[in-house]
Amino acid sequence: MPDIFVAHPEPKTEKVRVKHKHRRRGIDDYSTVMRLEKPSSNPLSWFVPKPQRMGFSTQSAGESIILLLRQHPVTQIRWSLTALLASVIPLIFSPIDFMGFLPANYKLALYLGWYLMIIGFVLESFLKWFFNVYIITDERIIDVDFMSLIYKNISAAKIDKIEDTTATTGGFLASLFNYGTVTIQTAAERREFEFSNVPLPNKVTKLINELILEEEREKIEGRVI
Amino acid sequence: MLWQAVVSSTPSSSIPPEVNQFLLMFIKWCLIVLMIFYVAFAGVVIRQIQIMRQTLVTTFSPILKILGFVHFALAFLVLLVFFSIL
Repeated sequence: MPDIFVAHPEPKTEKVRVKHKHRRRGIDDYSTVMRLEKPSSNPLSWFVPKPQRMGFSTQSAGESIILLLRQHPVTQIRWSLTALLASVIPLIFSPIDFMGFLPANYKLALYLGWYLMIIGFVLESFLKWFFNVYIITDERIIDVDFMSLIYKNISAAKIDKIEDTTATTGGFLASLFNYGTVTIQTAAERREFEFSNVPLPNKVTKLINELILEEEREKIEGRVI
Repeated sequence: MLWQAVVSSTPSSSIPPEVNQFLLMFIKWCLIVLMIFYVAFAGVVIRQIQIMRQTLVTTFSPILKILGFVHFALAFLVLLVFFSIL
């Protein structure tokens, strides 16, 4: 009598997570610009490579900031000098005594108001400089515009949407202190990004080009984890 | 007459007392209204710092928040000084 074939129960197949061949490379692996830069944790700097303990509201999980830029401090001299000049105006005009007809308490009030407004002007100008940042991550470029106290604009474009980058340095101060404007043409909704008066514009352009190349490599070799 | 009073450096005693009184009252209320607007502006600065520190997260943001509040407190203090000395 032939043996009845008894089928063995199918072994339970364990779900195996398919691991991709390539893992996401770190910025130092492919960027010659960033390889030379040390991570910075200075929140007041205008050129912050690989910033530590910094982030932004629309940052997605796994997205890391590569470079954070602000306008070069030389470009902030105008408001600094204005504030300085405004603060010495009462001293300059005190010999003329054009407020001679006012009682002492009114003069005190005017001085208090004047200096308070200078403080407000300095604070507002500083805030504009501090929050007006350009961020380059391994996925996107982000332009945070803090134009005034009631207007802000955040634009972003993916690295693979970038078509062209141009660095422009013009003027005596810009050449002397090595800052300029980086213009980025994109195929995103916003066609053009302008990183105004940022330090080391050539370095920034080179970094963006390296990021574009890496993005293309990722596309060719398959999506990486 | 008012303009002469403003531009001239002559002491207040040379201006007729009723004009002088009116001018001072006018300046007083101008300063107080201006200061009220300034306090409102200082409040907007605080709000804006709160919004922007959520947009850009840095270790310096708490200090900015304190600066905003100090600025507001200073503005409010000056407004109180205006009310008391003018």
